Amino acid sequence: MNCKEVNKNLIFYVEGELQPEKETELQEHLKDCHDCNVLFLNLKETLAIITQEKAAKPNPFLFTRIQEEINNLEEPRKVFVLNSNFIKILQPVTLSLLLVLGVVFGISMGNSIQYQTPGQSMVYQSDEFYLNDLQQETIESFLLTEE
Amino acid sequence: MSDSGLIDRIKKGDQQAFKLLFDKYHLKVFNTCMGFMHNKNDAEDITQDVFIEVYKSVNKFRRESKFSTWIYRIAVNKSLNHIRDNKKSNWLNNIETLIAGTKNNEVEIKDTLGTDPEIIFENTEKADMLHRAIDSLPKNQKIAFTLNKYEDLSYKQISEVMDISLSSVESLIHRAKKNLQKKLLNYYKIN
Repeated sequence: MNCKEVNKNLIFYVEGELQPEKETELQEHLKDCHDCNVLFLNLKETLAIITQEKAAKPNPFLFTRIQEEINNLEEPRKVFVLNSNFIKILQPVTLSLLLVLGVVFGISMGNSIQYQTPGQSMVYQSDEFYLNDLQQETIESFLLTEE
Repeated sequence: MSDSGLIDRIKKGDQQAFKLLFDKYHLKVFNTCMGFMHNKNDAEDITQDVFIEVYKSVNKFRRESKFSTWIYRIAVNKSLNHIRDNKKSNWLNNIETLIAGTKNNEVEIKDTLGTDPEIIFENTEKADMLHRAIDSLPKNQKIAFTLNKYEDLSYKQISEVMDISLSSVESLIHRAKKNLQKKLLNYYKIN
């Protein structure tokens, strides 16, 4: 086996996936070839990093975090459902009320304005009357009608 | 208790059943996420997202596949989505790395490899190279390789998660290893 062939099969050798015959040939080559042996050792060390990474453990409070997150998700969802239903009803009702109020206000404003046509004199008639609640004869009329 | 029994209990709102399911699967999910993210914090965040998704979607689980297959699919999809979203803001991370002069995953490798600075540096460099080589693999090769190497899933289990044939899984993992070998050997020769 030459260096080129060894380089093609090195990862399978590290993984122990080579046929026994090929494995023996490769082993023999590594004994004699320093460069290939260095590559083999480097590759073996690099792939061993996966095993080290697999040893990593998650935070022991991960479940508490998840539970908290789930509780947070559930609470706002209920509020949101209530709000969205409330908003669904409130929006058209508010708009209708505003529309009716607008129409009523418009009509009342229209009625309160008096337009002056050309040639119409500015005569104001007072609707107010002086009231005399005293049903008795006044002193002036008493003196004038003295018999 | 079986997965099916736990799921029935979770559907009824049993929090204790959800805890049992978490205890059973959280390391599998975390390892899968680690294989894609190579970063403990990201892997934890995605594991959290996976279990929240399981809790929210448990009523949609129709038992057409095993629960383990379903949860692995969620973990893979969430990890890939996270990588995709990260790529969008990659330029920001690059600036952060330039400023900090270090990467997050260096801290984790230091944690697992002792205190010799030379060993730490060498392994950090190798880990970085390995991660870059895995990340540069085509999507399906990366999924198959990660599930096989980080989660020790059998080819049959991988074929169920990926919904492809057994021979396709064999081919994907073989090509993934060849690609990794090529990239890593080139790197060693250059350095």
